[in-house]
Amino acid sequence: MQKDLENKFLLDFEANQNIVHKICRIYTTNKDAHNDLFQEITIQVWKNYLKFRGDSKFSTWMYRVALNTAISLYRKSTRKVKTQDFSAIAYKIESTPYEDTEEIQLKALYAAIHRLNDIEKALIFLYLEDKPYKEISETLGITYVNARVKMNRAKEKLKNILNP
Amino acid sequence: MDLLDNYKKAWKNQPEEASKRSTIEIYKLAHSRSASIVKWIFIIGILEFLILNTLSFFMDNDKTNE
Repeated sequence: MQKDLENKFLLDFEANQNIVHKICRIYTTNKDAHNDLFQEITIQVWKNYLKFRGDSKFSTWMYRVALNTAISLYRKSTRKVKTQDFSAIAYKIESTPYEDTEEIQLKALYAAIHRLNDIEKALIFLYLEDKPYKEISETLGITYVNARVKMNRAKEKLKNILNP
Repeated sequence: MDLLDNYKKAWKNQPEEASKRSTIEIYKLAHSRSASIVKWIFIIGILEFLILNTLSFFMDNDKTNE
């Protein structure tokens, strides 16, 4: 029974690991931190998998567990000395006009997201992943109205960073 | 078009993570110890060291040394 569940978890997680990688990329700025967060999320998803009843899609449920893990770890790490990676501030040197290639846009987008706070990061991530407000509010454990208000503020902040 | 819609397109077209983990790697990761647990074990270790050392100050060692 446990073995079957474990196999199912491994296959589900492997198929959806790109979600976790994206979350790691928005919450960390270097490879080591990325790998650490990836490990922590893997542990938490597996630990909670036993409680996952399958009333929602695995990926939907995984968004919730992964984001909550990232947010709680991020909260703890804010007390540590902050260092900033060069790539995180490099966008200040480049300009990002409209006709830029998607690669440069993506870099600028990640750099801008790195400047948001932990909750704003989660909101913007779910917006970029095209999640409806109902799912966003459930994932983050806030009300529907609150999700809309917070999302609008986060989007405004992101726009200001991208296009000051 | 909204400024963010442009970036959203770039987000959607971003390449998949290059260093994808295999099921075996995921298995190993899932069964490893959480960093926060390791941290607590470390803290408890230090506390043990400190408490036992301070205790020895209050003990009367002279008799044993005689």
